[in-house]
Amino acid sequence: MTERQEKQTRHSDTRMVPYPSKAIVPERDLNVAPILETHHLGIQFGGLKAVDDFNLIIGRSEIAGLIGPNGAGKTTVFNMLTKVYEPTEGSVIFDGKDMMGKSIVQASKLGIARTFQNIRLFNQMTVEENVRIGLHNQIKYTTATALLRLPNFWIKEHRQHKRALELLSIFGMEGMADVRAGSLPYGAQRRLEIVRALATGPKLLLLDEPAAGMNPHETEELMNTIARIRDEFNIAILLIEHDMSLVMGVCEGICVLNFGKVIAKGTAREIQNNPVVIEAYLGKQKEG
Amino acid sequence: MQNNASALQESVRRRSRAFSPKARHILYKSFTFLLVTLAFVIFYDWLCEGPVSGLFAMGKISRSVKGYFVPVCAWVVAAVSLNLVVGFSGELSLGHAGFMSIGYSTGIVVYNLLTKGYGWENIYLSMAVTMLAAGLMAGIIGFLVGIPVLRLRGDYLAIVTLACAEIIKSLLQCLYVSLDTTDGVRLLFAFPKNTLTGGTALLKGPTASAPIGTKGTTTDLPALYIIGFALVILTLFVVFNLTDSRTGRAIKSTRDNRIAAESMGIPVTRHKMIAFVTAAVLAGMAGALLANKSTYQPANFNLDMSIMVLVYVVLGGLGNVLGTIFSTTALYILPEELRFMKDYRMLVYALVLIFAMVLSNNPVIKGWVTSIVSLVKRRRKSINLFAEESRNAFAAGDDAQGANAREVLVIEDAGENETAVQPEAAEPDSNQAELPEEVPAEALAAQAGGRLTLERLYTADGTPLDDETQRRIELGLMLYEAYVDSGKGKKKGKKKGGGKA
Repeated sequence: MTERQEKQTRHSDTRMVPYPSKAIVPERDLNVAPILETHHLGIQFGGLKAVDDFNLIIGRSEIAGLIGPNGAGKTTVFNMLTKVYEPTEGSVIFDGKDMMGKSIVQASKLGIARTFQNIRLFNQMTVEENVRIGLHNQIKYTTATALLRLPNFWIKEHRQHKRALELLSIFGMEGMADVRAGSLPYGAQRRLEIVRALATGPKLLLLDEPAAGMNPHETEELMNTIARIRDEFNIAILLIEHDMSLVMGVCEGICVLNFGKVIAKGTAREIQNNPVVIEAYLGKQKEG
Repeated sequence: MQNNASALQESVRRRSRAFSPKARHILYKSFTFLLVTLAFVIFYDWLCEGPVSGLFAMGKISRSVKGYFVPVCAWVVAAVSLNLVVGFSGELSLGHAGFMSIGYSTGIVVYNLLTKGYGWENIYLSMAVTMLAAGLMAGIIGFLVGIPVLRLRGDYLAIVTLACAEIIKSLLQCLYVSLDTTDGVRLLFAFPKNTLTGGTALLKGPTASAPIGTKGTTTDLPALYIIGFALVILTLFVVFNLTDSRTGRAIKSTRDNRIAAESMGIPVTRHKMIAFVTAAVLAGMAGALLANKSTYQPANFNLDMSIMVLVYVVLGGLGNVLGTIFSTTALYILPEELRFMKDYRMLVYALVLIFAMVLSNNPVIKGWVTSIVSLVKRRRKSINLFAEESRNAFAAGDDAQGANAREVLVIEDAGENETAVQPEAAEPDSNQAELPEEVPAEALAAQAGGRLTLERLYTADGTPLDDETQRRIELGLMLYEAYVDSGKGKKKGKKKGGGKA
């Protein structure tokens, strides 16, 4: 067995890691298996170790935050979780299943959904069509049914239409269902990305800087919406954010990355007072 | 005051377009089908000298025009199928002629096998089977080509499709097929050199000698017209039904953003394959249809032909089926009609093409078109104000369109400078004063004796107008009434009288 496989089997035996040293899982989730476990996850690009020894456990309905300065490797972690990159070391166990060797499409079908830092919408399609793409694997019918326009086609299309409007109403966007996605304002595009990700019926939602470019009022609205999404859909959410008010306001457990390594993990209060975290963001206090 | 103005603004409904986007799309598709059917009816009738051509006194169809319809059908099918790959799937395919040539060769072999070999009489039946066989062969080759090719991106995919088309063309140019009817029906194949003896030659390497769609030795043109039309309708059905479905959306998403599509759980290669193979099948059928004209030989299905179909698609618009039909028809007929120019034919054709491309992408021209179109469809901003009982209906959740909203006032064409006010509902007021002409506004207001009062008005979301705005509207109404009554005003729409005193 390779060293990597050895490491994996060792850690798969000890699923529930003792708290609070390695994980912050909310009280309500203590008796259920966590939705995500990463063990010594790392990726190396040539000589550069972009992420090193990343351990994280996320509870089934937890809102977790991943913060750190720019270039710390947060989006790289997301890419490894969604299998855009294959990690060079460590393992990801999602919903009890080992994610090694899975493709992006398989990861999506297992229940991980994500938004992108630089918005990746389908610009030439309308808002509703973008959400319906999310519903692709939820409400299905075959191509033959579509070509012959059998009754199942009309039933499923209507169901998709209704579900899409339902999802859009989370952000109050049903009115712009027929607008071309590329012509939406920036904030609306970000929200559409979140709706599209939700449409895939995920168990874990990864949000990459959802509050980027939003004013304080919009950020507060977003905070409430995220909490509402977690309550209504009963999913876990992992956020990458730079806006501390959002992170401290809504995240139950926060993990801080710097230069690819975890430097702190804990609740909002613990992180706020952690000197290592402060140094990472603001630099060391000058002596004298 | 400012707050109420913005409240009013929020309830402004722009009725700038008559139909919703979904309705417009359905209209677009229906129009495409109708147009194709109309074209067929007119040309078929003209060919057979039926009643319609007599009606328009079109006279006898000329020899050259007779020969346009079937090739145009074939090229429309080829172009629309390429639009599926280039426009909807977002992949540049430079090898479309390869699939057409497979359809062409298969078509000739199968058709002659059925008619000359097995003696099938019914041209429609034999053509149907021929088309099926041609489409199937082209689809199989399309599948085999697609498996390695569609994993590539952008430029690499384009070059490899070009190479595949060249390979197919070269292989088919070395294929010799002849039909032997002496001892039962047999097809004789020779590859790569012609070692055949006896039998009627069907495919002779770079040339082909036994065209399809023939009754005996003559081409059955009316039947081919019907078959061409049927093929175009089939293509439209397939392309429209495929693109307006779950699969179609997935294909379009792979065009717009590959990584995002994968993250949504859409297998990208599989959907690109669906588009590619469907396009190959349709191109094969189109190629078979071209086999009725001896002007097309296996050697003709080269890169020039692939590029030509691509030009049809690009000029018609990526993802625009109706546009592709127009551009294909225009660009096929144009060089034919320019034949009188002899040596200068292709020069003029190229100039027309450049002109058309530049015009259709020029923002100034687009601006002119938009302004002409907007003259036709006047944009009307309207502010709708409601009575108190409607307010309760809104609170209960009804919207302005539906239930018991009593619209007291509709301010139409409420642009920045216009203040045309048009009252609706309400009974005529018998206390309306008779006013002479040329009376200044203040005098009018004074003469009207006090103010015109309306019941309290509400906007569509239930907020009442403040006193200031209410008064201004009442005054404006009063003035308008007076203006209209003095005979000078142009009445916009129905005037049901003023407000209640």
